[in-house]
This record gives sequence, structure tokens and C-alpha cells, in this order.
Amino acid sequence: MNMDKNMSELKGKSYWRSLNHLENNAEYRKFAESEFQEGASEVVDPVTRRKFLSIMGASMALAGLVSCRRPVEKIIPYVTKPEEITLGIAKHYASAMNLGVEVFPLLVENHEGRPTKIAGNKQHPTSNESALNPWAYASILNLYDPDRAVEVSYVDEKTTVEQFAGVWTKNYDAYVANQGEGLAVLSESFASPSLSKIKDEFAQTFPKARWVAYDPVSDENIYKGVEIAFGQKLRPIYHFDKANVILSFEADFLGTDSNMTQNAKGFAEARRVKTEKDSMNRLYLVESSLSQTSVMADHRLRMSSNEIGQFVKTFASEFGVINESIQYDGRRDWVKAVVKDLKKNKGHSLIVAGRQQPAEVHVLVAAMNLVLGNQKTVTYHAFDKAVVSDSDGFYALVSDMNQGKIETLFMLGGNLVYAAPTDLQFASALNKVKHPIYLGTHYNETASRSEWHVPTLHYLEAWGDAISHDGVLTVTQPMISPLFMGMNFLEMANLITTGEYLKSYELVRKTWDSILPMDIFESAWQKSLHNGYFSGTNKPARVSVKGNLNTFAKNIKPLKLGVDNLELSYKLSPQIHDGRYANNGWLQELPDPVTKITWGNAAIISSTMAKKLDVENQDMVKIEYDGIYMKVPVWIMPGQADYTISLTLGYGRSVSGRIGTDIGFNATLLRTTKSPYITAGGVKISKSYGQTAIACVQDYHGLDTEKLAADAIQTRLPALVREATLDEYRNEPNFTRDITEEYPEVSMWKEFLYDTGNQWGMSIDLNMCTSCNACTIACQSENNIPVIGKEQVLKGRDMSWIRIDRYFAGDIENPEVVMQPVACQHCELAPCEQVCPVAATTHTEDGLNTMTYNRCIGTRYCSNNCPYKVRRFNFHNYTKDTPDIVQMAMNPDVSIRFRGVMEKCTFCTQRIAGARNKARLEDRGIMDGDIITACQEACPTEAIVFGDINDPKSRVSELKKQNRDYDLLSELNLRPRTTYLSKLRNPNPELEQHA
Amino acid sequence: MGQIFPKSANRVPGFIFVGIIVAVACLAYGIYYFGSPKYTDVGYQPEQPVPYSHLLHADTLGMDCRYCHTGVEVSAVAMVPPTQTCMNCHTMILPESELLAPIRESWNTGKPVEWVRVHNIPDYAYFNHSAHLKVGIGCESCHGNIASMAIVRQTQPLSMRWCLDCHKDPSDHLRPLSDVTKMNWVAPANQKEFAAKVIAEKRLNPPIDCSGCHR
Repeated sequence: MNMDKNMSELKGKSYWRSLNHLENNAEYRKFAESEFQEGASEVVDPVTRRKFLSIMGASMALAGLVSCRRPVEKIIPYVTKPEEITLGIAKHYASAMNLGVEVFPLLVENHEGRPTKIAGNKQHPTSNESALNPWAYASILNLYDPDRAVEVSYVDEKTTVEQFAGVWTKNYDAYVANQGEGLAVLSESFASPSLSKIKDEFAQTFPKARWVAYDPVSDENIYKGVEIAFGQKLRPIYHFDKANVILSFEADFLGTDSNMTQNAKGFAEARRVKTEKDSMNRLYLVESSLSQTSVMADHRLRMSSNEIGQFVKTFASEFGVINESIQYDGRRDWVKAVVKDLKKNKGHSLIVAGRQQPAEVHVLVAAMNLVLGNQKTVTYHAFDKAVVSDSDGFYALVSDMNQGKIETLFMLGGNLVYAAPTDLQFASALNKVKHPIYLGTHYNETASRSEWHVPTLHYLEAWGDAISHDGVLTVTQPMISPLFMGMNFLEMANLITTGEYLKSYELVRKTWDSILPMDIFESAWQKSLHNGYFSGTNKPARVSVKGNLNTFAKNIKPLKLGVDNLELSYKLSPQIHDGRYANNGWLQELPDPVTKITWGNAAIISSTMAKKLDVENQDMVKIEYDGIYMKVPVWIMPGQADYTISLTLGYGRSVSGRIGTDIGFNATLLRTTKSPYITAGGVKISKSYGQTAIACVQDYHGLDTEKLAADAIQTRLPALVREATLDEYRNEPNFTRDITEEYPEVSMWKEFLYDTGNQWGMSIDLNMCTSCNACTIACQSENNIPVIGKEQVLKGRDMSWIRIDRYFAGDIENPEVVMQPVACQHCELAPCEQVCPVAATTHTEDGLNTMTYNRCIGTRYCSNNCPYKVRRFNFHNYTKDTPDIVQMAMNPDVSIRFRGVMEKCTFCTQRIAGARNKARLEDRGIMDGDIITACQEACPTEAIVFGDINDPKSRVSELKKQNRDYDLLSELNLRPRTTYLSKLRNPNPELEQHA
Repeated sequence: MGQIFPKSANRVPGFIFVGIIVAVACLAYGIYYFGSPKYTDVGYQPEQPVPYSHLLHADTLGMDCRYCHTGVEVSAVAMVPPTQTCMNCHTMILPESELLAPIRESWNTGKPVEWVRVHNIPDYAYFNHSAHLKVGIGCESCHGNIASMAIVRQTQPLSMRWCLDCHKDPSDHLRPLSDVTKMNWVAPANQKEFAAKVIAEKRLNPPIDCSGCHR
């Protein structure tokens, strides 16, 4: 490896895209310089030439018969048209999605009764934003999953919901009589008034039965810590908008942690800078594995997860929370400076810790926040009608199952045969249960071992409700009648409890009867349905530290790690969660925000470890713990603490659908009840044989990879992602534009002026982008972008219109990260247009670079000539085999593209056309804010703003006037309509030399 | 040795040459003419499951287009009416008619009537009825005098060129908003002036970019 040499040769701040890039070896150059990867031009269709000719012959014969006349098309009108539907106009309804105790208020786009696209409900008082996280966006595809379970199954027989209900009703009386002896319900955590109510009734009807909630990954440790510290069961809610200084101990609060969108929104508000006079917040981050949150870190310390506990004690001791002697471990200056900064911002600071840290850490964090007077930045709320994950209860239940004490077990959701910690041996415990009954969306690992499997209805197919932490009630309205047979959670829970099969609508209405004011019930109910919520309050609790914290702090003992004594941590997959979205193609193909790996997972290790093991990316390794081992490919990441391994959960599903089966490697195999998040010490790793291909999209479509520029990358990169510290910005407000020299702008031809009417443009604030991927998924949903599979991604054919480029800077072991979303820049002097032989890509008067799919003959010249590498080519007819049901998820306002056609970001031209028509019908011009592109709508930090740059008062114009505004590749004089605002960091001056 | 070919044979290559040119020109014109929507689509008059007569309803009875095609002013699609719209009247009028049997059957069974689409533009062209009506383009401009047709027939080619001709200069087709559904409309003498006024007042700028219709 000549990595070290390359690093030392580079002076000042240097940027690199990946470790391969830093090595800059011949292989990487060959890889990066080719527009598409090897094999990209060959035809791999199973249609052989002979078959092709025979098919051609058949179609010729047909052509002769049918002549030029097109086929007869039928119009099928309604028999009775629903009053509220006007064909061709989408309706939007409020609804909500629950994910554990988290609530996502939604606004669902519905085309003639067919939900196609979801976004956040901006009116909802808890979220107040249209942004969602990728899981919520992609959940619409789960509704149209062709592999959903469609029938109730009893062992191997297919039966119906009614039959199942009949069988349970027969057994019901016996259980009522024996007070529920031998009966248990195992659900996921939830925050639903109706389900809580049923759970209470369940406890009354069956006093001897039990109902346990369990999630494979949850915030249990946080809740436990808070309970120990304050003596109350409370849930902390962070208000990042009020925090000037944030210290995070491995909390991925901008990534996979709970409340990500609200966290990101608040964080962005405190970080947004309009002029050099503004201030911004500061984030100190201590973590073992490079997380999404690290993109925003001003100071990052690399530290193994178990060592962080000890480090927290250092801080606790500094704040006087515990009285243990301090061991600085050479980080004295860092601790002193951060403590000083936090103390200076008393009441406006915030300390957070990740859910993977043990409860003891959260005890100290809660106490420190109290000492710092952070009553405004973190509030604690009682669990009002929420039931949270209880691991101990779950472990006890499994032990009872093993002893044969459980006769009937209802599993409401989850997939615990796959996801339960390995030492529980849940599958064998399940075998000892006489009647395992599973309510789940798919026929999966758990369903295959259950006596009964009842399909769950998607949340958009049935009624439900939710309550958010601040007490606001939310309704889940169905958007479509159930596509297949099934029950939803409420219906099943009610059936268990009462022996009666009632529909979810009745159940929700019954609960709300007692909540809404009686005298105006009907109008309040209608209003709640319209707005999606009913106001309520759950005021923050008053808290004070109870008990002696020193005793808990003593439980935190760090281990000395080494080559034979490694630490292994398990993380929620940012794509497929705990495996529940494994069969969702959009999410499988979504790159991991930091590693940029799609379609699978890998063991993340540091380069020091890799050198010691003598492994390279994609090499298989054997990870061993407690007598169990798994083989998994490695991926070397900067920023990973030495002697630690990170694995994402959710992969390696053995029974999923056509998409999710056997993708990646199952990390749950090593996960134990003793250490569900961090296995500190005792883990061994050794090189195995062979390799597994990993589809990592980072090095595809690089801006810096043209042959000409290969040697000049280092001069070019700082101009691509421009950044400075806040102090530098204050001293040199125009640093962004001063980075590049001004080039004389000489054009080869007479230019179009683009000075009348609406002129569309976009501004992307790099200081705001957290790389959450919401824009990528929202774009996929809006623009019918196909899923192409791992094979195709490996060939560099990924189709996403908006990619997020990752750049590293500085220390190879602990780099700074910059993320840059790049979609079509809509250059006024677009190079792609100049080379298209058939004028398939042209410019409109309002400044859009448009792609006319029907003209495109697939020469790919445009893509070759595009310096931003934003064009995507349909190498195959990716939508040919799209099942009918998946076609229902397609946006009817956007064409489906065929094989051999180029496509790219259109600035959501269908939304522009929609707004233009609407304005025309209302006899007015298009106003600022009429057009929100899908990516803009999805962005929790409002980093992306679209609008009319010809209107000096529009938001986008205001942003473009800022002195941080710059063009990408400005030296090419392409006049892109998308411009960027440079990134700022706010390091502590006292720590700069250590950064 | 006598000449094998007569002297007139010298002119044969010329004839062949001219002949090829004529043949190619004919072929090209043939494809251009017989392949164009003007030939293939204009006059398309399929048989419908119910012989619904626009002549009777729209002309003789004087019903407005918008009684049935309710989406036309607000939406992209004008909308073929639901069975219910037919039954609004036909529960009273001709309730036993043989011709209306499919309508009654649809009403009783809940199965829609399958009409045959006459005016068909490709799926990748996004046409919006409401935008055209709002600026005063009459139904007749694209659909012809529907009120005179017992069975609906396509009168315009609906080809891209035909669309663009009007988008480039819509002045012949702009009417006062009150007249958009009128059939047999005759342009007044001052049509050019009127159109110029409308274009200026409403700031009409019909898109001729690809993305105007294709997305």
C-alpha cells in the first residue's frame, strides 16, 4: 500500500473519496476512468440470438396483420363515481405510520384510490415538517410488495381469517376460565391509545397471562438509565434547536436513532448560517464507527464503544456528578476544553448518548444534563399510552416457553426467529409452544415455524392510531381497501382479548369515543381525520437525581482491547432497519449513508486492523465469539476505532421474498442477550478464504475521474466541496468564491438570455446536508426510478437520479466527512445537449435541461460529455418484469423509461407542469413555494431549495445571493442552475491543534 | 455484326434512373401519407357497446358537454361519465329501451361499460383539458363538431405536428370563454384582434418545449 506516501505528499487540506482513491492505484484508475464498469456494454439478456430472430419473425408477422392501426383501447369509467374523486387530480389524506413508539404523521398522495407517494404532514404539531426518514418514504412499496403473505395458513393448509377467528373463539372460553394460564402475547413496542386500551383489557381478562413487548433494537437502555437517575419511567426528547453546544457519546441522532427527522430539523436550525455575522452550534462527537452524525461533527474522537463508558465517567467527574478520580488517558486537553465550552453554555448545551451504550452511561448523561441546567434542550415525558420494549420480560418469556409453560403464543409482528439474540434459541423455544400463532406481513422465518400465520394488513389498509411523546393524538387512516386477506394489530389484539372479530374502524372509534369531547364528537372526529391529529398535551416531567450515582458508575469498566480481544458492535441498518424492510427493493438499493454499500453488509474495520490481518476490501473473514462464528466480507473504513468491528443487523435473511432472501450476512448469529449491542472483548477475527463482491457506489460517477483531471485531482477537489471554519469565514467572507480563479467567460455561440418568465434553479446547502438519503428515496418514489439489483449495481449502473458524494479530508484514521448531493445541474450551456445527435436532450425557455425519452436512441454521448456524471442509462428493460402490483406504486404523472434510454433529474418537471396548470386555472402567476421538488420536500434540514431565480424575492434567489454560493466545476462555464452553499465547521479554537 | 440493342436502348439507363427516383419518392410519400395520423387516425369511428348519439343528446336535446364530461374544466381528463350519469335520466326516459340494456346491466351488476377510446394520444404525452379550456380553446378545435355525430369519429390527426401548429399560433382557435363548448362556432371577423388581445391579457405562451407535454 502506498497510502501513507500519498497522504504525506499532500499538503494542506486534501480530500479523497475513498481509500481506493487515496491509494490511486492502477486498478482504481481503470475503474474510475471508465464511464461504466466492465461488461457494461455486453448484452447479458437471456434472449439468445436465435430466440431473438424467432421473436422478431413473430412480431413482423403480427405487424403485417395489424397494419398501422394501433390497438383498440378501452375506457372503463366508474359505475358510481365517488363524489370526492375527480379523475386526474390526486387527493391528499392525512394518515400516520408507527415504527415502535415513533410516530410519523403522513400526508398520502392518492390517485383514484391508489396511494402512490407519502410525505410528512406539515400541519402536525409534533413534526411540523414534510420530511420523513427513508424507512417511512419507502414503506409505500411494502404495501405493493408482491411477496406479501396473501392467505391465512394453518400448518400447510390455506384458510381464512374467519376460520382462524372461529378456532380462537372456541378456545377463548377455556382461557377465560383458567385466567389465561399458558397464554402469552409477544408484540413489538407501540404507542397507540387503542392498542394500549386493548392491552389493559387483556390484563383484566387474563390475569395469569402476559403481554410482552420486545424490539430487537430499541431505546431501552436510555429509558432504563433515565429511570435509574430520576426514579421515574420517562422518555427523553431532545431539542437540538435550543442547543449551542452538543456532546454526543456515539449517539447517531441524525441517523438511525429515534426521532431522526425532528432531531435533524432542530439541529439544522441551530446551525444555519446566512451571513458571516451569524453564529452556529458546535458538535463534539465521540464514537467507534463513522456514523452519519459525524458528517456534522466539529470535533470527532475515535474511541471503542466500551471505552466510551469510561470517558463519560471522566466528564461526569468533571461536572461533579460522581466523585471518582479522573483518568484522562492523554485526553486531558480535550476533556477540559469541552467541559469549559459546555459550562459556558449552561442551559444551552446538550449531552446525548447512543442507544447501544449501557444504562449506566445514560444515568450519568441524564445527571450531567441536569447539572448543566439543560431543561430546555432535553425534556422528559411520561410514556402516555406507550408500551416499550422489555428485554428482561422477553428473556423470561422465552425461558418459560422452554419449560413448556406457554401453550398458546401470539406473536404480533416482529420476526423473532430471525432477530432474537442467538443464545436464546428462540426457534427451539417456539417448538415447545403448542400453538404458536404469528401475525406478520410476510411468510418468513417465524411464519414458517408457526402453527398459524395470519397476514398483517399494511398500515395504509386499516385503521389505527398513535400518540406522540408530547401527547398529540394521530389517526392512521386507510388509503385503500385491503389488497389481500389479513388482519391488523388492533383487530388481532381485540380478537385475542374479547374473542370477537371487530374491524379496526370500530375499535379506533371506540377508543376515541372516550378521548374526544362528547358534545362535539362527530365534528372533532371529522376534523381529526382531516388534519390527521387531535391536540393533546403531555407536559415534560419535573426531574431530580435520585440515589447515589457512584454505585452505578462503578459498573462501567473498560476492557483493554487487542488483536485477539476485539469489540464487536451491532447497528441498525440505515436501509432495511432490523430486517423488516429486507424485501423492499428501494431500501436494499439505497447506499448506506456513510459506507455507500448497497445490497448487503460487511464487517467494518479500520485500516490498522486490515494491515494486521492482511486483508483487503471484500476479503472474507471469520468472526468468532463464544464458540459461534460467522463468515463475512470486510470493508475498511476510515474513522473506525482500532480493534473494533461494526456489523449492521437485518441482513442475511433466509426466508424473505424474491428481493430480501440471502442478501448480506446475518450478524444476529453472534448477538447475545448478555451484550445485544456491544460485545466488548472476547471477539476474534481471522482471515478466511475467498471474497464476496460488495456493491459500493462511492467510486462510481466521480466528478474527479476524467483522464485529464486524474493528476490534478488534489487541486480540483477543494473547489468541488468548498469548506471553511466559521472563523475563517468571518475573516474572509468571500472565501467560497476566492478558491477558484475567475475564468473569462467566452462562448462559442450566441447565447440564449433566459431573462424572462420563470427561470428554475436550485440551491443546496452543504452546511445542512446530513446525508440522510431521504431525498434519494423520495426521488425514487416520485419519479418511478427502477430497482436494478446487485449485479447491475456492481457494474456501475445504479439508477438513482440524486446521488450523495462522500469526501473525506484530513487524517486517514479519523477524517472529516463532507457530503454533497449531486443531481442534474441543469446547466444553461449544457454539454450533454451539444452532443446529442437526435436532439433528445434540449433546453426549455425556463431553463430546464429536459430529456425526451421517446427521441433517445441510446448513444450515451450525453452521459460521456456530462462533467457531473448525473445521467443514468437504462441498460436493460428494467421495468419489463415489474409485477402488476408493484406498478400500482408508480406515479402516473411520470413516464416509465424503456431499455436504451437515458434519464436524469428533471427538477420534477411534472410538479412544475402541475403548478403551472393550477396557477393558470386560478388566473395568477406561479408563486414562490408553489413548486416543491420531491427532494426538497424530503429534506429534514431544508438543505435543498428550489424556485424561480428570476424572482429576486424567492427563497432560492435569496440563498443564491449569499456569499457562500458557488457553482460546481465553475471553470467549465456551464452556468449550472443548481448551485451550492459551502460547508462550515465550528471548531473550538482551544482544540484546533488537536482536531 | 448487327447491333444487339436498338439505339433507343441508350435512353434506358435514364429511364431507370428517373424511375428509381420516382419510385423512391412515391414510396417516401406513401409512407409519409399512409403512415401519418392524418390517414391512419382521422375518420376512426369504432362501434361502441351502446350506440350513444351525441347528435341526439348534444344537438337535438341541447345538453352541454359538461353535463357528462365533468372533469374537463378542472382536470387533465375530461372524463367519460359513470353509468350513474346515464341513469340520472334513463330511469325515467326510455327505461325499457333495448339499446340501453348494457347500461342497465352495468347499473345492476356494478360492472362498468367498456367504451372504446376514440381520441387517443400516447401515454408519454401529457395533455391537460382544463388548461386548454381555461384560455378559450373550444372542444371543437380538437374533437370536431361532436354534436353532429351519431357515432363519434376522430376528425383531427392529433399528431405532434398538429399540436405544435396550434401551440405556435393559437389565434385561430381562441374563443370567448362562454363559447368553448359551442359547436359549429364561426370565428368573427375580428378574430385576429380578439386573439391578440387574449394572448396579451392572459400572457399566453403555449409551451413548444418537449417538456411541455412529455415528462
